[in-house]
Amino acid sequence: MDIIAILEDILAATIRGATPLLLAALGEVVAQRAGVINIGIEGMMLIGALFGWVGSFYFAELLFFAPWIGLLIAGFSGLVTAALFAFFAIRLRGDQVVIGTAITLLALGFTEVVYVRLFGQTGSLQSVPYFKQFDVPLLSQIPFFGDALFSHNIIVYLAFLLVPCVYFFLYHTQLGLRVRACGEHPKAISTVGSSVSLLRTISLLFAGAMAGIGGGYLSLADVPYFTPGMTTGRGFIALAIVIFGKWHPIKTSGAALLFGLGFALDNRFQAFGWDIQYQWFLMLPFALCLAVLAGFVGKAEAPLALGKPYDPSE
Amino acid sequence: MPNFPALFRKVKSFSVSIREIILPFFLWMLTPFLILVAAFITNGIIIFLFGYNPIEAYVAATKVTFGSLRGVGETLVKSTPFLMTGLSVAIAFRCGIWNIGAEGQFLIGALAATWFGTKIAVLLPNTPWIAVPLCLSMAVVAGGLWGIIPAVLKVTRGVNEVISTIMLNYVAINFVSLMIDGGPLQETSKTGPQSDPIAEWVFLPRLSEFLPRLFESHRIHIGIGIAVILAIALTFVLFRTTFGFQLRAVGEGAAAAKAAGISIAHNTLRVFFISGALAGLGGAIEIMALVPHRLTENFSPDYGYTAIAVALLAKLHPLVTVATALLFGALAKGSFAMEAEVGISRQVTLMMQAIILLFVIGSSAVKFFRKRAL
Repeated sequence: MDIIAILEDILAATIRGATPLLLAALGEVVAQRAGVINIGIEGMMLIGALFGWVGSFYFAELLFFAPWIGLLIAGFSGLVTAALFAFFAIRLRGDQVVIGTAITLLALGFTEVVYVRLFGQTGSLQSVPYFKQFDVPLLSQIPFFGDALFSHNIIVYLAFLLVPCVYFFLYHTQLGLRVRACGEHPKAISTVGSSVSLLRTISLLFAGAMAGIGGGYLSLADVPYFTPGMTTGRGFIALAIVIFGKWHPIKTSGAALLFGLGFALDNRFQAFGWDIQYQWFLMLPFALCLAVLAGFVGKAEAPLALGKPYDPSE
Repeated sequence: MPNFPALFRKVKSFSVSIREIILPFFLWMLTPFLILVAAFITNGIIIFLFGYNPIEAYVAATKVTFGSLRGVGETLVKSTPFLMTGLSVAIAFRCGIWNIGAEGQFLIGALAATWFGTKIAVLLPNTPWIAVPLCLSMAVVAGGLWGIIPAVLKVTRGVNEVISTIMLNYVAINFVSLMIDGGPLQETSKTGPQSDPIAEWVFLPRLSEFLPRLFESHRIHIGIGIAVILAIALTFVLFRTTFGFQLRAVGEGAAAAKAAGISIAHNTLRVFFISGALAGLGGAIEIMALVPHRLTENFSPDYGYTAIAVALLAKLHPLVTVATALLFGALAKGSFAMEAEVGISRQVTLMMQAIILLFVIGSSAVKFFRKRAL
């Protein structure tokens, strides 16, 4: 293989690998900006992956629309999971870390139980209609970049288009300002007459839906089938990405690409016969995240009220 | 003639002890008990909605876990890692430290034991009396040091331990994979992602070696005893020593503890070391006590996360943790019977654990239970 083809391949794989991480991380940015630390992303992604795939499976006759319906169901199932989170975290003011752990365990168990119920213990892989590659007209004709950037499935483009949208929402709308204030100084939001609970719930539901869609991407676009535990820690990587991206949507997309590169390289290293163990690349995101947290790579400032339940009577 | 006044005093003090010790204890235990009942019912309803028979499933699980001496033994074997990681979480949470890193610390402990058992033990051939304690302490130190990392980050750089411990879990998982899949600890034949079995003289003794008639081919090992003794020791440390008092004071209110002259940094470092050491020891016990005596990929089926449920259900009390760990061990063992006889996936236990956790959260939001919390 010549060097250009290799680079093109790596760039394309980076973008594909980054997409589910980016989707989940964008939601998590909003939730954390509102002061809710959702460590149940992994669970929400898994739920989304299962239901997205189940949706596409049962609507398979609709051919073109089947994966879209699947993705919709994936997002909705993530949203429902987030509603469960919100009930315990915001209504009952429970500890968000414990709830997040519970949601992840719940999803790990639930998806496997559903999967075995539907397809039995051995569970042969059931392929479903999935998102096909969509070459952007004209742009995909550009040499080198055309294939690497504009020959993906449609969700990839939508995910990256969402980045400026979330940025605009957080920094240039009144609602976005309030969401951010919720995470910094919830009392102030209460004082001006907005409901902290409501704002946090909405942010959390958005995060859940995005995580669900991110999971749906895995079982509808990455591969056309579901396997239990197929997220393999991507939810926690999304968490790392949010921190690495310093709670900013655009920096977060950069972080997602960097981590996507890690995935792309680890798949290709052995193929090229390079003498570095691929696990170093899998470890890197988490180690980098630690370095960022410790302030060795620029200082990251978490939202002040992150993870603290808001009690209006205090 | 009996000494009536003395007897009367005794009876009176007995009734006082009922009112002041036994009754509150039962009230204190009421919450976990009700949580369990509620969780079993909820889980049963979900199983039912999936079209399985929950009663049949529970009966099958109970039969295989507590129906025979062998079943009880297996349950004990299965509950040991839950107990070790549960103790690790309990002691950290008591101090207000959200250590989600038991998973990684468990793996690092197992890795240390494997390294010792495959590489170092050869230098001390056939010396179980030296090799076994040395191997265990190796794991204690390794797990403890892995636990110290988030503590140092927290004390010196103010890094939130929830996130740092999650990240360290994944560093540990990949580090283990690095070591056993292409790394220096991979089996000599280099076929699969697993280590060689550790040397035979580093195995933990089994009960069947001492009482071969009663426990023939049972897997009960002395690691279970170690875990229970540690639970008792931790109870003593927590409630009867200055260190334990300081630790709990920091957990109840860091500001007040600081004002009283307790060093938060010191306690954070110490507690994280102990917490990591306990989880690490748990990992080593699994390697040293159970066949195949080698480190494999997916060595821990989320023990570190389940441990949070184990500890919280026990209200972070080390002695009660023994009971809850036993329950989770029974669930783990029973799930195989449920899968075999009713057909439901054995991962249903993860769902059960999550439901327990959610009920723990729910119960602390209700005033009646909150008064009795912790």
